[in-house]
Amino acid sequence: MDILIPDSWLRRFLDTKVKPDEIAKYLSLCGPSIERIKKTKDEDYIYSVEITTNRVDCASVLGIAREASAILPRFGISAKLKIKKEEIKNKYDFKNKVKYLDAIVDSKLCPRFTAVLIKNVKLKDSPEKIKNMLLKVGVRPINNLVDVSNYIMHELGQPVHTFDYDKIVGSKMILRESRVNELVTTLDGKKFKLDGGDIVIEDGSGKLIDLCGIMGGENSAIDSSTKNVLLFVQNYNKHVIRKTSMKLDLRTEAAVLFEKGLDSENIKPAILLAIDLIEKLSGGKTEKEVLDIYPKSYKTKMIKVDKLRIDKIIGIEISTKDISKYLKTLGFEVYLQGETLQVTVPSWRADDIDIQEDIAEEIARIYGYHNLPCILMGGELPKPQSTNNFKVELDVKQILKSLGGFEIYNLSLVEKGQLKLSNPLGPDSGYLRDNLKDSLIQNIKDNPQEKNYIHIFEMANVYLARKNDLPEEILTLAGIIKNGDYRKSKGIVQTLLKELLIDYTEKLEDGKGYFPNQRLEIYSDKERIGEYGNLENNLFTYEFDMQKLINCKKTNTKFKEAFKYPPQVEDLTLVIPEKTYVGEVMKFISDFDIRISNLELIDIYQNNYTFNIEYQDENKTLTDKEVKEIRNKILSELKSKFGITIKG
Amino acid sequence: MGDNLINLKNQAIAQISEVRDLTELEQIRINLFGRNGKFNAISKEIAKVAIEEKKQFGITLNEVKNTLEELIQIKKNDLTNSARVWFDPTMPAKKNKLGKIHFVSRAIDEISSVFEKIGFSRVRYSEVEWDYFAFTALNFPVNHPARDDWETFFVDLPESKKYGSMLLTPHTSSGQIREMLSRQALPAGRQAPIRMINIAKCYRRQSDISHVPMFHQFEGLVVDSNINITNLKGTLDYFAKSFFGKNRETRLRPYHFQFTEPSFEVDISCNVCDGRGCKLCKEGWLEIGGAGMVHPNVLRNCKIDPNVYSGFAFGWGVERVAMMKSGLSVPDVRLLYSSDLRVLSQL
Repeated sequence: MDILIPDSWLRRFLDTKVKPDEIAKYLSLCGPSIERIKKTKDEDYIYSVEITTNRVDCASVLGIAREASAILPRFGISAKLKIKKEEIKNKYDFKNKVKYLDAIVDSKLCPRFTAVLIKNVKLKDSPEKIKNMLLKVGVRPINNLVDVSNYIMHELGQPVHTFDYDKIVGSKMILRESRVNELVTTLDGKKFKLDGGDIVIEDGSGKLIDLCGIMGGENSAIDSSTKNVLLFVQNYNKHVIRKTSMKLDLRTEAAVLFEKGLDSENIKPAILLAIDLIEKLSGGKTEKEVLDIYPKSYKTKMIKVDKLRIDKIIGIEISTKDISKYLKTLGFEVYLQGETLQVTVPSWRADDIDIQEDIAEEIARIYGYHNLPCILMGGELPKPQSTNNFKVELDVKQILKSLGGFEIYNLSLVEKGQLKLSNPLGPDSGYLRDNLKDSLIQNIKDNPQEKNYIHIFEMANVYLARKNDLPEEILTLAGIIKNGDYRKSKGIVQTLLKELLIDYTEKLEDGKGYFPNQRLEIYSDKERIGEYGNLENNLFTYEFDMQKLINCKKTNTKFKEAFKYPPQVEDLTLVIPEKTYVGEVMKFISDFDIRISNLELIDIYQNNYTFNIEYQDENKTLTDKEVKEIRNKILSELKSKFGITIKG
Repeated sequence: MGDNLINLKNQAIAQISEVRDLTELEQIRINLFGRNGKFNAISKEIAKVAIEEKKQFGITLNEVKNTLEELIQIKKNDLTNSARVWFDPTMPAKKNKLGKIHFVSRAIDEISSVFEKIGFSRVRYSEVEWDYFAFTALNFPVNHPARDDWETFFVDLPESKKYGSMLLTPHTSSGQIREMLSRQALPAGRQAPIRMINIAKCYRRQSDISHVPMFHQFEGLVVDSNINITNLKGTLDYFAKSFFGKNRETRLRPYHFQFTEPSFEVDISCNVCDGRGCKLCKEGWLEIGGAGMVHPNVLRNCKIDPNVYSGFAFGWGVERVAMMKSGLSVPDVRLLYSSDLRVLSQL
C-alpha cells in the first residue's frame, strides 16, 4: 500500500534540520521506500511512501518519524523523535465496565475495545490547519468529528470511529459474528446482505449498527442534529476484517489497516488524542471513565539472538555495541549476555518479528545494505547438470531462423483445451491450450497485410490433463507456412532434422485438419516424433515433440572417407504413371544397388520426372558398360514394379 | 647516335598510337624495354660515343625512355577503360530471407549464459502447480494478504488433499521448492551446494499496458553453508555488470517477501542519466526486482536444515530486464507478445 505523508506533519514528530530529498533518499535505502516527493503551493512537501504488508506500523506520520529517527543518524544527521506528551496526558479512568454503555464483546473478534461518551458536541467545520493537512493526504474534510477520526488515523495509524450516542438503542452494544443473510446499511447508504462470520455490532433493538473495522452503520451515524457522541477505538481480528472487506469489495482505509494487524497498545494514545481533539474542536465534555475491554494485555515478546548467527547471515562482523545501538533506536530493548542478546520486541513490531533472521534484517538495514561488500560465493561447485536440452532448443530456433522462420510467443490461454481456468480474464482465454497449431493459424489470420510468404514457428508447452495430478506439459515445436511451395516447405523440415543429426522415416497417415493423403508422420527408432503436411486451409504445418526430438538426436556422425574414384553422372527422365508415390520410386532406386551413390529429382513436367543419378564404386572407376548394366536392371525393375518407362 | 634515338622515339610513338589491344601494347613495351629490347641495345652503344657527347646522349636517352613509358601507361589506361564492363554497384541488395528468434528467447539465452559462468545450472519446472509449491511451502500463510500481490489463475479442478488447489504458477519461486525437494533423497549434508537458475513462464491475472497475463521470470537460488548477504550482493552485481555493462551499480533496499528474510528490492543505476536522476528513473535508480535470504521455514519445508545451510534467492522478470537493457521502449508491454510480423521483426 502507498501512503502520503506531508513533510510539515512529519516534522511535528521528528526534530531534524535535514532537507526532504535527503530524508527520502536515506529512508528508501534503510526503511520504507519513498517513491516520490511532491512540492505543494504552500511550500510543503508530500512524500509518497510504499508500505509493505509486514510494516503497517509505518503507515502513519508517527511510524515514518520513528523510522527516520533510527535511520538518519546513520548518515550523520541529527534526528530525534518528538512524542507530544502533553497531548496524551491521561486524566481518565480506563475501566472494563462503564455506566453509559453496556457492551458485550467477543474478544476473539476484537482483542481490545475502547469507547467513551462525549456530551454536548457542536458539529462544525474543522479549523483550516486540520482541513489543509487532510487534503494533503488525500482526505476530504467533512466536519470536525469525522475529520478528527481521519486525522488520528493518518497521524497514528489507528482507525477511530464516532457514533451518534443517542441512536444506540438501549445504550447497548453486542459485538459478534454476523449471521447468514443479516442486513446492514453502511454510512455511505449501501445495503449489504452478509454471508455470516463478519464482525458486526447490534444495539438494544437488535439492529446492526456497525460493520466493524470497515465502515459504520447508517443508522448510528453522526448527523447535523448529533449532540452526544460515542468515541470508538478498537482493534479487530485481521483475518476476519480481510475476508469481509474482500468479499464485499469495501476496501476502506480502515479495513486496509486493520487487515494487516494493528498494535493494541496504540489504542490508548489514540483515544486520548481523539478525546483531546474532539473537546478542543467541538466543545464537548468527556465522561471521566473510558470503557476498555482488553482481556489479554500485551506481553512483551523476547527473542534470543546469537551474535555469531547474525554475523553469519549478514556476512560481516558487527559489534554487539553497534547491534544494541541500532536496535534501541528502533524501539527494541537489548540485554547482553556475552555473545547472546536478549531482545524485546516493541509492541508495534510484535506481528512481524519472530526469529533471529528478522532481527538480522533490522540490524543489517540500519547498518546499511549499501555498506556491505559484494562478494561472489566460494566453495564447491554443484554437481554438473546437463543443460543439453536448452542448447538443442536454441539450436532448433537458430536453424529455423536461418530458414526464414519467425519465432512467436503466444499466450498459453485460449478458447478451448483440456484444462479450464476457474477465474479467466475472458471467455477467449479460459483454457490452457492443448496444441500450438491453432494459435499459429490465428497468427496467420492476424497478419492479413502479409500477402506473400510467411513462416512462423513457436516452441512452447501444451497441457494435457491427467487424472488426479498436474497436467502433462509437453514442450512442442510447431510451425506454419503460408503461400509456400510444398517441396520447399518440406525441405525446411528435412534440413532441420538433418542439422540435428536425426535419422527418420516417414509414414503417410491422415489426420484431423489436414487434407486427406497430405500428412506425413515422422518416426525415429519406431517412435513418432512429429508430423507435417498440408492443412485444409492451404497452410503447411509441422509439429514436433521437443523431448522426443532431443532423445533421437545423435550426438555425432561416423566419419566416412570420401570416394577416391569419381562418379559417373547422368540424367534420366522417367515416365511415371499417375498416383505413384515418387518417394517410393526414389527409395526403390536408391536401395537397388549400393553403387548408386546419389539420386536427386531435378525436374517434373507432367508425368516426366527427371532424375540426376550418380553411380560410384569405392574401389574403382565404373566403366560405361557397368553403368549401363545397373541402369538396365533398374529400368526393367521399375517397369515391372511401377509401370515406369524411360522417356525418349 | 642521337638521330637513331630520335628515330626510335618517333617510330615508337607512331606504333603506340595505333595499338588496338593490351597484348599488342605489351609486345611493344617488351620490344622497347625488354632485356633484348631496343633501349638495352642502344645503351650498350654508349661506349662508342665520344666522351664530350656522352653526357648529352645519356640525358636524351632518359628523356626518350620516360616519354615512351608514360605514353605506354596512358595507352594502357585507355585500353583498360574501354574494355571495362559497365557495372552498377549501387544496385539494391537482394534481401536474404532470415527469420528472427524472439526477443524473449534471446534474452533468456543471454541471462542463462551469464549465470552459467558463475556455476549456476539452468532448470525449468512445471507451469501448472499446486498451491503448496507456489505459496504454502514458500511460507505464505493461508489467506495471507501477501498472496494478493500474486494475482493467481486457478485451474477448475478439485483440490488435492495434500497440496491444495491447482494453479498457474505466478512466479518462478515455486521452482525453489521443486529444486530443493529434488535433493530430498540425498543423504543429509549432500543436498547442497545448489546454484540454480530457473527460467520459466509465469501467469498473473492482469492485463494492461505494463502487465501481461503471461510473462517470464528467472529465479536464482543458492544454498550452501555460509551463504550470506554479501554473496547475494556479489552475485547480483556480477549479473548487472555482465548483462547491463561494467559501469552499472546495484543497490539493495529493504522489502518484504514471505519466503525470504531479510528481503530486498534490487535497483540498478540508471544508464540514461548515469545515476544523477531523470524522468525514467527514481533518483538515479531503476527497480529490477526482488531478492532475499531464503527464509528458514522455506528451507525446513524442503527438508534442509537451516542451522547447517543458508541461501539466497531472487526472481526477476525476463521481459523487464531485457527491455531495460535494450532500451527498447514499447508503448505497451503486450506488444512483446504480438503476432504482428511488422512488430515482431522490430523486436
